[in-house]
Amino acid sequence: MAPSERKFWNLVIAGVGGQGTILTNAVLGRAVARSGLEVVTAETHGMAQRYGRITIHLRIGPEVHGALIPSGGADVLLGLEPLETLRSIECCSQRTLVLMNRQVVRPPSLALSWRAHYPSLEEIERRLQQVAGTVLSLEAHELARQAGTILATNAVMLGALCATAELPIPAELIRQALFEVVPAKAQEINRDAFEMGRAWAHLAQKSSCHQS
Amino acid sequence: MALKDIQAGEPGEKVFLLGNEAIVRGALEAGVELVAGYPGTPSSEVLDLLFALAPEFGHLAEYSVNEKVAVETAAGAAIVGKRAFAIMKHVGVNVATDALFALAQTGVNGALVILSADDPGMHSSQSEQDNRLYGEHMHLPMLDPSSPAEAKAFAQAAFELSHRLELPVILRTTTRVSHGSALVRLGTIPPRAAPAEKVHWARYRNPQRFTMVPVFARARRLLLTEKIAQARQLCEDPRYNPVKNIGSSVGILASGIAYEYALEALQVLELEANVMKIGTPYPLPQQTMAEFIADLKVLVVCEELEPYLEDRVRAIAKEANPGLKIYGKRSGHLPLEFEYSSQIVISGLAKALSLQLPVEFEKIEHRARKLIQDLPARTPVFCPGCPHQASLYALKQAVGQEAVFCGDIGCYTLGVQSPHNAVDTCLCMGASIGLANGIQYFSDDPVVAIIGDSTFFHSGLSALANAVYHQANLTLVVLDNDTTAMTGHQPHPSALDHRMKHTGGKLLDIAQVAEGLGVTDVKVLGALETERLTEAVKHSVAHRGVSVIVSKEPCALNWDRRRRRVGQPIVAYTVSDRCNGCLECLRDFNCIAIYEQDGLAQIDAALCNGCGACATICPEEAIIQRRSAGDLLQELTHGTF
Repeated sequence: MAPSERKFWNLVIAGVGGQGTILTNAVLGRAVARSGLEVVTAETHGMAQRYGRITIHLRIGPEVHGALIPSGGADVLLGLEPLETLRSIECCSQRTLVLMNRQVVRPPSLALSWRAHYPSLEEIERRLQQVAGTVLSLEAHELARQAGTILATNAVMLGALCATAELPIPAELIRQALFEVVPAKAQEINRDAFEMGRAWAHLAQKSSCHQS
Repeated sequence: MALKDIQAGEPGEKVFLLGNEAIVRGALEAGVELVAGYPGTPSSEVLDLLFALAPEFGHLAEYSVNEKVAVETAAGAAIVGKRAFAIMKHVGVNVATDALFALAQTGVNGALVILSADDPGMHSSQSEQDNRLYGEHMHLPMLDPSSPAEAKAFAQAAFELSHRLELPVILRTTTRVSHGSALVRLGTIPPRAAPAEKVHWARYRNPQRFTMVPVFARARRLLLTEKIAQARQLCEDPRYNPVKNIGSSVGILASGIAYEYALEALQVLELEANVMKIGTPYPLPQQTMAEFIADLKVLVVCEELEPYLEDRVRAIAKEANPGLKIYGKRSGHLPLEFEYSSQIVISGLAKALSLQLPVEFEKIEHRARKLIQDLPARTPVFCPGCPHQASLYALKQAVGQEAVFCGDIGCYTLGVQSPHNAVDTCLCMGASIGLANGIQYFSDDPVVAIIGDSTFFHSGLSALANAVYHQANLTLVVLDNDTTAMTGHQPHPSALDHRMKHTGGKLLDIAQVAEGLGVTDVKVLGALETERLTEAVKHSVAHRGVSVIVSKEPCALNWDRRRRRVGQPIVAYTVSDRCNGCLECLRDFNCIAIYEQDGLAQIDAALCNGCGACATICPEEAIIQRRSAGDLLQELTHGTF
């Protein structure tokens, strides 16, 4: 087997319990099932879902093994929350595209310690840029709100992912899988949200602007 | 979507399933007839899905009160010739061991499979334990899959093996197998005539086999040795324990998810090695293992948790290859604690074989650590509106810092964190009452045991009877949120829910149960009535003997769902201009919906679930309920605006 064929495509999803990370995971897995490639994931279930940190590791390739991605090995870090995106920086290296939603979810620990503070988004981006190849951040929750509901934030992120990352599977499969996974009544909003994410990414890349 | 895939997926189709979902499909394809278990991460989805699918596929399913009862229930079914499945997490097996050791001797007529979902790294558990050792200890055959696809295949195989050997079989997974997803190829689910066929006990009555008095038990013990010898022969099958021999002098012996990590490590290090995967930790395929190591110079053992394979292969090597160098945990190349990852195995393998690491992991990690060291932590917290949060607040108000707080297993264990500091101990299910009983013998400070409703039925009852019997001086607070919340809202004896429509069930009342166990001071209060609850706790603590307080309020998540279902609006609270910035609500109560802005408390309306507990604790009475659209309209029409 040639080394290029052995390669995994590695995705880390970072967010907070309740942000729909599991749904994003289900969409991608479903899409891979139709692609002829293999996929393996490691997910967070259980207690951490009570507003704790959630990370999902997802790997796609012709042959996949363990799901946990070695340090520096992510092709994409899909960050649904800025602080948790930065906290996952260990998976980043020059090969990594960071795609980050700018929606802040305050950790409750802030209320208990006067010393703790939430870093500015600029500071978070600056630190990510020190390690990752490319850092793109967007107001995905705002775009989702414009599309009809903030619940479609993940559809915006998937749209942006399809337009920016070098995916191992056709983007169309991801789009199709999204519509299969979301409830029937939410399909139109998710379609709009997906397209808004895609359009944003095209624009961001054209203007080679790293901050939206 | 997954439920639909498990349900209706066509044979031959490849679908994206969670390891636990794959196990469910495997059990259905094996024709499971009875399912019993107690929820616990990382096993819970298996029980939940099989319970939900019972009406359609015709098997019987129950949420048992604890794992011991679940195993006994499943064993009962298997004794009368049925295929039964008992489901639990690794520590749940501890609860069931008493039954299992004896069941190894009696065996079963149908099939009995026990799922033991282990949790290396303790993502959601109080202890790390390697249940592979139980296989050997109990003399029960055990299958240990390394991937979701294999989890399905092994689930199915476990039923066949159990049926063939007439022995219970343990299906052992770990968090990364149970909670990892991959593409799984589906097989055929056999058709079944529901309802289940009744049996004649006379056909199965056999006291010499099922009544373990010493004279019968000794005979069965000898038979067990014979059965294990037979099982050992079956385990030499390469379907369970495959060997890849490429003629290398380096060998890898691996099991579970560590096998997948080892394969990746070989790729990354561009290393060619012979590989043997152990899918049956008990009985081990000793003959195949001996042949595998015979011509090797170096063997690296990749397994999570205990050096189980490592020690056993060392014993085999004494005869098969005395000069073999064996690397693993004992040699210090791989860690003894917590879960593995590809990276850990890559590093360990490189160290053992003196190879260059292709990636400087340590440098990457060092840089990452520096970039995140000052970030505020994000640990799991109580949900907005959580009644436990209000109960624990009232408890602290009533008895202060000096009291002893013996906690238990459930969401309320989060109360160990600041500012609650209301959990001083947490060992295992039901231990709150037993520990409190021991401490009260020597403590003049108030002794409080805190237990959830589901945990109370799981293993609190006998401890409470013991405390009453021995005239203990303690107060038991049952945090009754009408569900088994932490594991995903399962029903229990005092919380029958809509999913039990097809099974029915008799509701037990916690206060009546406590009275029935001889407690004379029993009070039932609403968890959100913080002032009344505080007074009640003061009163109970002053009472000599055992007192029980049932603090009742449905889990906030369930309450939210119920309101959404019936279209009832969730009306958030807000902070009025009476707030003087004392921030007691934030510091002492710490609901996730409350935050500080410009020195004053604020409430995030999107998070607030309208429980109102914070309003009852604000000394300035500054927290008030927002008016709903309906209220506003009414005020306008009545001209009060």
